[in-house]
Amino acid sequence: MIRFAFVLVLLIFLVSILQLYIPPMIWLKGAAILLPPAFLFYGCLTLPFPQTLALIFLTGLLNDLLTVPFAPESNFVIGSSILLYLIPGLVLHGLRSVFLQGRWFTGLLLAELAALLTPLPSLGQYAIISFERRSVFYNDAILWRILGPGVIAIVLTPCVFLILSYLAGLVRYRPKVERPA
Amino acid sequence: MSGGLKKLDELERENRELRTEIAELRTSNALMKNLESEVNRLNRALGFREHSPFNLLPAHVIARESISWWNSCTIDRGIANGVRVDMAVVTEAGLVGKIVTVAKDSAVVLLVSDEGLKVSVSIEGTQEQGIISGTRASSNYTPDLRVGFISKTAEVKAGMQVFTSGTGGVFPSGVLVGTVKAFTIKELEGVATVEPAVDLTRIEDVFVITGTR
Repeated sequence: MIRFAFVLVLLIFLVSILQLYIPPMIWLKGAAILLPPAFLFYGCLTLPFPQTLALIFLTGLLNDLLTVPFAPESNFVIGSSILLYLIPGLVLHGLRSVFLQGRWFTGLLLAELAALLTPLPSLGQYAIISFERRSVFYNDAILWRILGPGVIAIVLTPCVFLILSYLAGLVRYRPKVERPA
Repeated sequence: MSGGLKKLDELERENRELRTEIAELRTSNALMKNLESEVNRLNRALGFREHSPFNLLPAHVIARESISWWNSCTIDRGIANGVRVDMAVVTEAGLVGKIVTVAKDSAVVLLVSDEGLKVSVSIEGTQEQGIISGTRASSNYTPDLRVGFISKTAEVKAGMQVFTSGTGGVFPSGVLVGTVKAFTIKELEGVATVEPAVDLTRIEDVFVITGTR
């Protein structure tokens, strides 16, 4: 389990760096491909609670360190994304027992649910900035900046889940639901 | 007859060779054109650096932020080169932004197109001053800017140039920011829509203003 958690940490770190080099989708009005949420959400569905929390902390912090300018003008406190990732992460962790039953259909369904939760951190960031700047500004680009990653994740997340389940097998991680004593 | 056929073969070969040569010349011509535009761009930058009233530190854009709500880029100069937070960044065309984070060998520039960057500006040919800012998100890297707090009675027309006013002390005065596209009168203020002077999609080489001469 620890080995797989480390694999996920390493992958989240790598894809966080990688996504900085992926250009935005012009045909989706500049929406970005967000890779780390898919890896985080798989961790939330398979790892026990403490590791899930650690993974959420790491992903949120890494996201802010790599994308938010360290300046008062950003109107965003570094580390806030930890809380923004906490909500979808815990929702998915709550469905862990369903995921671990191992049925392909529920796996696919939860992968799609994870994809639908992908825009939540972006929405949260937008809400924080709007609150700090005291202006709710709206245009098509904003809508796509929030929803676009979710649209892309509908295709991307099941593929990531498939690869990660294969990787989990490689490091001999067979997650089971802990039964209360 | 055989001599004529031989000549036809030769002509075909010659034709093939000429076609190859044309393709090669076209490729080298395209390369020359690229080089020419590169030399022109560097000449303009050099001329700007020599004639500018500011001390300019040349820098190269090494990364561009595209996945977040903030418009920024990273340059290859940092503390080791004398770059400090709040220094203005320009090109020969005009204002790019300001330094917000500095590391040893790199620095993050918040672009003028970012909503959070407010710059005090004055409009050419008028006594009008206002605050210019960008937009929160746009599908375009170079979205129009917005100058607020202009007097409702101001005679601002499309085509007028907008310069930094120097108020606030971060940006030196007289740096071109953009050109007015439209002027609208709102309830409390006049608002000018400004096209940025710098094409932020294509910024490669910039200058950090480290002081005045």
